[in-house]
Amino acid sequence: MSGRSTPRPKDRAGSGDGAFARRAKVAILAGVGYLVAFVFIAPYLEMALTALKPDRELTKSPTTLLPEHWDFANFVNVWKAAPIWKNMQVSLIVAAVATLIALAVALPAAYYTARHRFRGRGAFLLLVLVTQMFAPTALVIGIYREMVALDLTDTLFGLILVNAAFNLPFCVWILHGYFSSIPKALEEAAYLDGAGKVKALVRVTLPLSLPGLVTAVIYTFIGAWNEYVVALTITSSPDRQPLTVAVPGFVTSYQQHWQYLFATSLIAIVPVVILFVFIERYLIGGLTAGSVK
Amino acid sequence: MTTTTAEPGTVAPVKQKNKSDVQGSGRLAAVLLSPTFLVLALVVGYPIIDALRESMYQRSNGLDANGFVVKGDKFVGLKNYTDILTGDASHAFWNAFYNTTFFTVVGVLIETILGVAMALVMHQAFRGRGFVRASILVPWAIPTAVSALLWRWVFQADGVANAMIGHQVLWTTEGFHAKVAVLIADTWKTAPFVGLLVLAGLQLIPAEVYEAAKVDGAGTWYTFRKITLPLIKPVLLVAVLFRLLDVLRFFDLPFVLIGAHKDSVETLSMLAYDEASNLRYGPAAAYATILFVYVAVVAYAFVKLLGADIIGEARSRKKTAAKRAKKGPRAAREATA
Repeated sequence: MSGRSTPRPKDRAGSGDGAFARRAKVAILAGVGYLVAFVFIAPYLEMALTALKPDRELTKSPTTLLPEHWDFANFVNVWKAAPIWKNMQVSLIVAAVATLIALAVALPAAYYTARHRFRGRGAFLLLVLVTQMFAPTALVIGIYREMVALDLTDTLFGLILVNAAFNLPFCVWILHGYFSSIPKALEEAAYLDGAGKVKALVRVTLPLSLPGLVTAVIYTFIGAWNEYVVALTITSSPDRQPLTVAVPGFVTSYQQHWQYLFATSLIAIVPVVILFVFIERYLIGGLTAGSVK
Repeated sequence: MTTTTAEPGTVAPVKQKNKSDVQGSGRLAAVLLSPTFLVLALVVGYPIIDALRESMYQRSNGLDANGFVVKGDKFVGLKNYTDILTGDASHAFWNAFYNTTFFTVVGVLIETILGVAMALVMHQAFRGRGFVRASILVPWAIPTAVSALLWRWVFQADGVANAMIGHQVLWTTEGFHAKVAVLIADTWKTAPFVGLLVLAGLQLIPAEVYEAAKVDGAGTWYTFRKITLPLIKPVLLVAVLFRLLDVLRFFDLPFVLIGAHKDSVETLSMLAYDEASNLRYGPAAAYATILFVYVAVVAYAFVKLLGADIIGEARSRKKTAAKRAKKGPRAAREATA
């Protein structure tokens, strides 16, 4: 806000102080922002530094922050140590397709429940929410049996279906919230201009709820990208497992390749960062552009 | 744009339109809602029913003389439940119940406060904002299983955490420090989630509202309490609700970071998993069902106490708020035109 507002000559009494105070406020906020960002990033630095340590330095005590010998080869060798490329493909495909399915399924339901009042509307939303209350560790037995019955164990489709369903309730709820907060009058104005229902939805409501849509996309994608228990249960071949199942395999009671674990984890962050960088401006853009006026 | 003044002539047609809407759209409702229904029934509904059925059974005999698993499930009614609540296992259950509650209350409180604070900072315009946003949100994108390993590395005996505080704490052994380790790791991972949602909510607040408040001479704290908080409330409630549901089912983080069978961090979800991995599906399902009831009660209480309007009534209130917010600039524009 402070950065965008044009300086006004007489904001309050003592206008010179006001401008100074505002600049100081921005500086302090930025400082706090950087500090918080550093705290959140610090564990990655540790991760990156450890990923560059050779085997023998990992067990050294006391530990050194920086590697004594920078072993960049770890990032190359890790591709040979496990079928990482395959795992990454599985994770990407599952997350992307699950996101598409969850959105496609949630959108109509969320829109309809937000725009229409009908008997059982509250019950429907509650029922959707209730499915979020069962622990995945408990569902896993039933899901496994089902996957065996449908012959979907060890398949991408099985993973996609489960992940789409797990994140569906959140999509329905968050989109429902966004659609509800957009005045119906805006759509009605579009009708008056001759737009049909679908056109009003696509041209008016969807752009306005873009931050909500983006939130739903990020949430589902990351949820699917992170899913662990079910993937651990219904996949068995190493080249059909997502990264979440493959990566912890580097540190077990038999072998402790922390450097590979962290190297892979860092590699695995890249797609999510790309997604985020690509999508962030929509999250920010949306309404601040001033479309709701 | 409908006018707020209740004029009989304008209200009547609107009402009629709504009525015909309800009558004609039963089929439309079915078409639009059934995919959600179908997917959830398939992936979540069936396993829930399966678990409920399973919780009434006990495995009567494990292995036969040749070491093969004999399938013989015996109907035991509610015995699995009574065993958990009052039998030998009750100590483990109540301990896990306490841990789950502790992580939920303390964790969600910290994450919410931190998340809102982070969103407020991320919402401000300053140089490097994009970088700050990205770096805060990326922890959320690391698989929990991996971030738990990362924190295990940080919290190991001669790890970075101990090097920083300057003396030896055995974080991953029994004791309160294990809870602290789990809370730190969980906050690092999930406060960004709350932050992201609240940030999205902040985008919905028109800048004019703040400018109006400023003109009226409202202070920062007052503006936050009276304008920001009420306007982000719907989004914040959804975020907190989903965090509650998530942390009540807490599993992978304490499981990987500290490990199974540790009284300090064992949660209900871990107990259920432990039983299932020992092929005692009956008790596992019973734990899961009790956990479900607990989650449902908390969610219900949350919705009733804080946001009975999460589902519906918020709309009318928010609408009027939005209208009120819009009136200012609109009137100003009309005046200049």
